[in-house]
Amino acid sequence: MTDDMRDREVALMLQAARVDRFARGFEDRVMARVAAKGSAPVIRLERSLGRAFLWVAPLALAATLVLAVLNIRSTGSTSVDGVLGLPQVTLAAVYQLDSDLTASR
Amino acid sequence: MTSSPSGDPRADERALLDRVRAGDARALREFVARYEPVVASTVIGMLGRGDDADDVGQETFIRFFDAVGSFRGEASVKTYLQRIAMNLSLNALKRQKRSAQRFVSIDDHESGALDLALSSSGEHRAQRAQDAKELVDAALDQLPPKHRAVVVLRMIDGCSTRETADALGVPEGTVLSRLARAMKQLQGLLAPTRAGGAIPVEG
Repeated sequence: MTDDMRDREVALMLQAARVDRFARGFEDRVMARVAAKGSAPVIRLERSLGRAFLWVAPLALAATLVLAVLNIRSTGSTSVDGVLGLPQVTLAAVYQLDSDLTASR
Repeated sequence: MTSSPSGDPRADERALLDRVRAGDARALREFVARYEPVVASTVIGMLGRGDDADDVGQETFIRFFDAVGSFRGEASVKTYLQRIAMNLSLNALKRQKRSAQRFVSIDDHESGALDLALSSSGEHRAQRAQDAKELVDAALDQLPPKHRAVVVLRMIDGCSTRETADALGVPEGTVLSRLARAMKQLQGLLAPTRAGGAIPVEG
């Protein structure tokens, strides 16, 4: 027997072994899963929010660090006020603000 | 399989896809009925019959429905489904292998199925003559997953070399070389069966 003949014989056996149906009720099982997914919008929203958070969180963290560094460099202070970029609040500044507000009325 | 009302299978496929995209439940059911043979042939060819294959078959359709919004039709629906089914089947095989390794030695795992099927004892010989499908399943089990994938798509599902390459994401030359090696191995594995001539080969 030649190699080609053996190949044909194996090919016939493989084709005869083809199974093209799942167990009875396959459509119903797929539809049940589709329905289960569709009837759980809260779970889907939760998952998509979770995925969005994973993208946004590192970017937000990086932006925060950049802003903190810029604030420290511009204010020259490593205190909380300096990191957050808050101006120094003095008594004179408060009086000035008060008089500005009074004048504007 | 559902009939094609307009007579143009591609137009019918597009119309069905539009209804599937719109979430029409009847269209989803019709789609599953139409493409079950494609998915079943690939998945059962890879995993054999059973709950694992059924699960992977269901998951294939769920994945398709999830992605149908972005399906632009560069590949045919059949090729796209085969690709999903094949990827999920290969993942399932990896999981099966990992769990099998926890309980039995590799030698036991590799030789067990075919030994049982091809045993030359009289009792088993009578049994094997009744079911050529189990013998082929057992022989396919002995192939490395990548070779098995090529045999299933090319020889069992009847895909062309090009379609097989597309579904597996490999060059056509790779398909041909894997197929040649797999067929050689299958010739050896199925030799006792072929020599005995006792296996009824359908159509």
